[in-house]
Amino acid sequence: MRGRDTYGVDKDYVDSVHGKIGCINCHKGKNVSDKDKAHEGLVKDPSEKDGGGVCIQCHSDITSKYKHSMHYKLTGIFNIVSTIIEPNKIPDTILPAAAKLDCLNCHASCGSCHVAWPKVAEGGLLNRHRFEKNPPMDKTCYACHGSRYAGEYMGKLGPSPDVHYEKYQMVCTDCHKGEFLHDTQPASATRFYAVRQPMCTDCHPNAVPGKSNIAMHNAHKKDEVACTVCHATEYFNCVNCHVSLDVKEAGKIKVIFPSEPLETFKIARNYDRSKYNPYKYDLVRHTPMKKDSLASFYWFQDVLTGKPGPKDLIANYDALPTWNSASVHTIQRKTKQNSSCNACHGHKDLFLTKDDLVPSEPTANLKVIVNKIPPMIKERR
Amino acid sequence: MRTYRRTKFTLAVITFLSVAFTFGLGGTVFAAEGTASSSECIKCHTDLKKMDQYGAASAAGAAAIAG
Repeated sequence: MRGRDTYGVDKDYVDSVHGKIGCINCHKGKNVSDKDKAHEGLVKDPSEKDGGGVCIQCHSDITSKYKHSMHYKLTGIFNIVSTIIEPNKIPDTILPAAAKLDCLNCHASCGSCHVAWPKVAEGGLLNRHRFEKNPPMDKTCYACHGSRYAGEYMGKLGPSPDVHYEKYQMVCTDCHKGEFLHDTQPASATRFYAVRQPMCTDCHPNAVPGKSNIAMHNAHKKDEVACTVCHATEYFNCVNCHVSLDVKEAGKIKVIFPSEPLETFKIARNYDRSKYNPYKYDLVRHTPMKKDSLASFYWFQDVLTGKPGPKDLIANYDALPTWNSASVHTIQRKTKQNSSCNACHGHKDLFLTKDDLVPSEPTANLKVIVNKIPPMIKERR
Repeated sequence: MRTYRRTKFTLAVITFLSVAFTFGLGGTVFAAEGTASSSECIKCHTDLKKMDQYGAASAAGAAAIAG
């Protein structure tokens, strides 16, 4: 990248609807030629505050919903963290400071999808400050979701790209419309899989069990197996992640992956069924949270505040599973497990069982394991 | 009755034109003020060769582990 790709503004942008507002009206700063003086009081992302910032003035119909959305509030992350640290409370820990240093880099403002690369990618402007109605997925979605969903969708992880991308060049927003991304519904949802979202059957109504001309679809009851169970290929998992204070660079968080990433395919029981994830069996992905993943925060809190943090920060580690419902994006029409009934039935290796669990992992994993593998089906001759 | 209708129509036209003129002109003035108040910013940031001198961020996708 060149400097122009990071900070450059195109002349045609100046004549656009947004350009005509003028830089200072949004970014503050001063209209002088001296660079340092011009940038005094500069607001780098004027769309950040209250879920819309300056965008609220013209787009309040969107921002009024967006300020409550999961992309803006990172509801899921904070709900999980507050659950597993109980009885500790987030405000009594160093977690808010750590969130500011790292987690919140993925919190999305209007500008971090429509004007600039997300903060975590540190890339500056997307396209010479032009406003991108459909954010380019390789720069925006991928920057935050690249290590799993977007990465596997584009084939940068795992054995093959998703057929929707490989064959039809579909982009994220073809399915994940702005109305879903801007407006999290139901508002009480605390997991991404529980929110209003596109369903495969919206575009493939003939795949609904009982209405299909494919025998395998009709052989399973409605809401019995997620589409991905039959149509996804292997996918990426994170196993063991540790977060630490970066000793080389003060004020930075370091995320350490001491183990090799894992590619798996595991069918499990869905213990958290909801309207948008109603399936009894779903694919699960491993979350890289270990009991001691945040152990260094004990010392981190001491360094920053003069008082050590809770010794057992993740005190309620057993409350949530580390194998969680996964919206796998490696879809193919034909897969190893859907080649015949008995390519799946009777294959223990495809299912998450007790043997897959590591003793040091949370007991909540017992809620998702499959205790009885579907038996092989006697095939007709 | 006819006079009443004509008066009503004339009033509606005058109101519409007043609104269009006021807001149209207001918008133009705001736009002119907007770019004029940022002339130095625009001059510098649209000079792409100059921007190159400030170095570039190296954008890194997949830097996050959000999923």
